[in-house]
Amino acid sequence: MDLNQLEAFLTAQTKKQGGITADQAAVIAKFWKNHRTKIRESLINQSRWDNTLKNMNWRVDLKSQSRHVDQINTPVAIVEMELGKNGQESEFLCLEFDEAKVTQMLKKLSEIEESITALTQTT
Amino acid sequence: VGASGVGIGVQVAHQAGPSAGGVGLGRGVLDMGCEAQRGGLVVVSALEGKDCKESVRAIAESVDLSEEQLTSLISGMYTLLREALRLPLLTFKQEVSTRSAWCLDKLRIPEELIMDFASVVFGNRRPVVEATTTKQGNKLPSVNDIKWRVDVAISTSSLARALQPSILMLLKLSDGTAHRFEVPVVKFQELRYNVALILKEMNDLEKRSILKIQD
Repeated sequence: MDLNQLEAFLTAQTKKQGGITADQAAVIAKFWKNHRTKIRESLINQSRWDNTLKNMNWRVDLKSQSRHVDQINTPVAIVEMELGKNGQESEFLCLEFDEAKVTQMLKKLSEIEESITALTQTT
Repeated sequence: VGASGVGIGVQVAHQAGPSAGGVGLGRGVLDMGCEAQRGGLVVVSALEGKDCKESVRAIAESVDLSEEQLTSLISGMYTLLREALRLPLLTFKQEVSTRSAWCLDKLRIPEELIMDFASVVFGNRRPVVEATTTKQGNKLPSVNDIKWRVDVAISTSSLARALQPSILMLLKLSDGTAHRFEVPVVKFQELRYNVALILKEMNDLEKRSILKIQD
């Protein structure tokens, strides 16, 4: 329900026998304006049954040495993804990416972005 | 002899003299005769991550050395090459013409074998050995493949008209596991931004000479 629909709905409620007052309508309108997105998100989340990506943390390290290599000097990204279902304990996925893998990942994400953009433009 | 066909238990002495098997590395190599090159090849194969049990067994049958002596020799060659390959190429001067290269004269190693060792350390087999070392190294799993699907929720049990896109992702990892999860659009944008930021940081890091360890 967008704000115009809300206004029409609340106006109808105030004119109804035993309906709401104008002040009550104003309070409801303000509440809906402030919390509409959160309420919608909460309702959509009720129909998400898979694990969802809740959070991600990352850091970039410089590999310097290993047991068999005296000097490496290449950057490596350590990424931690928090995956979980609503109301359940999360699982943490810890991954390592070199530059090539990060580039590959970004390419895939760009493909997804294009797909979403195409969808939102057609609807 | 370990699982890869080469034991690494014997440290190579920097002076000539009896090793754990009672034979100096150089002297033992001479005793191996023409089999020394085969021994060297076995060591290189082991460094490349191949199973060398059968090759070592074949050499053991064809040389007049005890198992203990042969193990010491192959271990010695392995340790020598492993240490040489540990150092970056820039650190090395390719002085293979003299017997004093890497103090191999002290180990009394024949010149032909020095040439063979040098071809491993400086030649075209080095990248293969380095790739094996990297693969066998201690690291976290990485992403081998990403599969994705974009779904649009039309209507749900909680919402009559949802029309909400979401992304279903499947990450196949190098450790053989697969993880499937849903990514809401807001989280997806966050993920994409962070991945782009990681790439930028990595590129910046390579440009910063302060972090390059100097020889």
